Amino acid sequence: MSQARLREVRGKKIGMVFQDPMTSLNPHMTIGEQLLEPLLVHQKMGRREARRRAIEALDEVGIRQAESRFDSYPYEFSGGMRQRVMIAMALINKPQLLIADEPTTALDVTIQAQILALLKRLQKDHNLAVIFISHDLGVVAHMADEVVVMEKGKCVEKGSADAVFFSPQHPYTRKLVAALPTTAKPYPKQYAETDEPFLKVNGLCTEFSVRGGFLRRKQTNFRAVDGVDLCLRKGEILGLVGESGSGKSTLGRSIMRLVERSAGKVSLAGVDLAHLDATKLRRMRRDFQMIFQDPYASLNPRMTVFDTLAEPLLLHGLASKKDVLQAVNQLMDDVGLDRRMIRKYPHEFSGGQRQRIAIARALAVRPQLIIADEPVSALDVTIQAQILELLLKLTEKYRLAMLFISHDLGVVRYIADRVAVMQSGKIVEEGETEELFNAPQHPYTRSLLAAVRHLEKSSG
Amino acid sequence: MGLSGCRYPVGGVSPGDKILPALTLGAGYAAYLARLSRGGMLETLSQDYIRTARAKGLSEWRVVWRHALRGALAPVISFAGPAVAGLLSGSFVVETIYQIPGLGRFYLQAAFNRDYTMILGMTILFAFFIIVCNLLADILAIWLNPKLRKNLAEKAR
Amino acid sequence: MVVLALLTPWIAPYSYEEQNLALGATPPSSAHWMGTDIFGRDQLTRILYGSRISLMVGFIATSVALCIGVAWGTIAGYVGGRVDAVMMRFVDVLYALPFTIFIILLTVVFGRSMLLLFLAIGAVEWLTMARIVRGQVMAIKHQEFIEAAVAMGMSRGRIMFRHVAPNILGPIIIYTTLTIPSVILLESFLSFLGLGIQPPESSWGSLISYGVETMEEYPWLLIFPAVTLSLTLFALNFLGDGLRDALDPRASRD
Repeated sequence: MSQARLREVRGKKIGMVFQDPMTSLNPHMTIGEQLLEPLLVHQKMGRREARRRAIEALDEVGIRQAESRFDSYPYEFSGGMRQRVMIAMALINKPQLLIADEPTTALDVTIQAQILALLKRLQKDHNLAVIFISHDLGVVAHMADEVVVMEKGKCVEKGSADAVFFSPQHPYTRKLVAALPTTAKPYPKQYAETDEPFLKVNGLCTEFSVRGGFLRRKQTNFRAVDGVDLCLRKGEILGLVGESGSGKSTLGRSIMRLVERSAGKVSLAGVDLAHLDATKLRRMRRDFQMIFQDPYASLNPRMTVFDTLAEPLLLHGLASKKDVLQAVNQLMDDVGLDRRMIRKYPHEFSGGQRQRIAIARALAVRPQLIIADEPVSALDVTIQAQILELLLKLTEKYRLAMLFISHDLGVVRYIADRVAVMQSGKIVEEGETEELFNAPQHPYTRSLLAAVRHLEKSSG
Repeated sequence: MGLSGCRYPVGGVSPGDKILPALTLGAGYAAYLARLSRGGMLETLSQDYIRTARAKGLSEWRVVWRHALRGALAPVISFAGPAVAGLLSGSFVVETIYQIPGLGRFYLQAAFNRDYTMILGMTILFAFFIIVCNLLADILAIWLNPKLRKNLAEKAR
Repeated sequence: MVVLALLTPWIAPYSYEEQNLALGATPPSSAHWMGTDIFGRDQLTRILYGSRISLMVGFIATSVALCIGVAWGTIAGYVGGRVDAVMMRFVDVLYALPFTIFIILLTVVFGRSMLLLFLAIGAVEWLTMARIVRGQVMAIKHQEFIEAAVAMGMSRGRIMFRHVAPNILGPIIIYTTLTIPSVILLESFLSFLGLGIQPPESSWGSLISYGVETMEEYPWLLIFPAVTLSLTLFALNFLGDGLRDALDPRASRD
């Protein structure tokens, strides 16, 4: 096919929507200009006519006051809005095929639901063929009629959505479906209701000053965490859910005193963390550790696994130079890594293995509280299941108190004993996991749960 | 080069005699700017929004000139300020080599002769040039960035 | 090249001051491989001695730049906030000044000396170093493994030393090797203008300057030092580029 013919097909027959709406629109051009381009180039349409069509298209994807937003730049739009613009742009020349490559992966769960509904409606209205690429089985089950499963560049299974998800044939598909954490927690509770809470958080507030306006002269205080009360017993896993920007990560970091809070009290086994001086705080830190989201950034790339794990042991005097190797080996066993790999550098490991190293580092100082900030969000679904399993096992073995922060409700349901739902810096609902999932009280919790796609048989 | 073979007149002042010195002075910076633009262009062409533009079926020419160029120019513009400063200092050497009675040579002579009034005056003049050029570069950078441009427009209102 | 420069006093065929007026300027011959200047001084010897000065300037001025730049950049990057803003604005202001004006002013005020030359060149070159270091520190500072180290209860000093420093070492080494040639070039510029090394000492810059004056009669006096300088600069630049490619984490990882 010649270049010109290829461009013709791309412009008129196939539309494409990409994963990350924040980067897939040109930041230097207004969205209007970008929408007009396909019309001017491929339909040879007049500017006025094209403008009318473009505004219609924006209306159709649910952008209000399309007329006045026509000359806006992408940075003035939120992620969900940009994805709507992308969809409008992909469909503006009325193609027959739409390829959507993980179109909702970068979006929050409620926005995700809106975009999926929009895609479904447009698919019906325009009688479109859609190739929907996604790693999220729930979303695929909701969207697709036919499903193709790929592994290592090869198509391993193909069939109707119901057939693939409810009677998978290929071992890889089975593994994928089985790895999906949709069930309740498989372990019994490790604590009694009457246990004294180990971590107590009272009225915690954290503020950031945000500089805005010209030459950053305006200064406003933004309250990321707004009067949060929490308690956590030993052996208990508390899930903290909320959408991005709800302040759940900041809450975790405030408890860790990685960010200074502006009001409230955090006490650990009766010791108030807020008033410790720097030296005492450093010594105290071995009692509470953190596991971070990105296993690629949370390990020092210039230190071997041995150095990474030995450092905290030696620092807190938990091992002498002589028996540090023994202790490191023990940690490697704990997190299920081969002892022979301790001389390797982080970049020689896969994402899942790195997260195991990060877990081992947190465990090295034998803490009693672990704050896990989205520890499985950066991992593939099958690896995710392994890491969750590991965390559950370790919590049981060492009777850890764990605050498990995640945006993924399925994961939280699988791992947490209790769940707290966070919205704009506040805890809006808190309760036993199954109770909360089965009978959510707060409207925000309900909307979160409604937006989640489970594997369920399609109705039609 | 059209000038090869002929002797450069001492203290040449006609426009034609400026070509060789200008080339000497400019060539190094041209090479560096070319490298910057290349880097910027490569960086920009690997962006997601270029993929979007290609998916729209736009011609390669349109992708490069309408979509990529503005993003690619940013590092070039930010180098413009220091480049002007560099050119001014470069002129000292070039003016000496080609025996051009320019500001650079005057300045150098003033420095050797300890002519403090002259040095002071010329320093202020140079500083003025540089500030103006840096200002122009900054304005250009703001104009190229829609976010900054809009902020500025709102302030003006 | 460095070895040659160090060994110069022993391998140089003639003394750099030794004049042979009777000989006058001669083109390259078997006795004087690169010819002699009008005072009958052996050009090869002078270039070798020149290399000592040029490379010395290169290394010392680079060290000056390294010290100031790394300290300045690290502090600005690690402390951040208002301190960072003030420190970097200061760098920006200096960055916009043409270095020659700056150095001429220094020579005017303090007179000419080798020490001043080192300091002046170092004072110009540290700006870029400070920027690079600051950028690196800022990028590293926000990585999660630094947060993890804080959470582990490590002291500030230990974090800087064990976790931040090793991760910015690569770019610093690379930039240092790239600074040396630019410093040598700068010194040549200055010597060329007559602001640098004074006779009878010679550096490549002053040799070239002298060569230009006489290039129509004695071209070899211009060609040899110029070629030597260019070759050295090329070599050092290639070394720097090579190091950058070798140490670039993106190239060696994954």
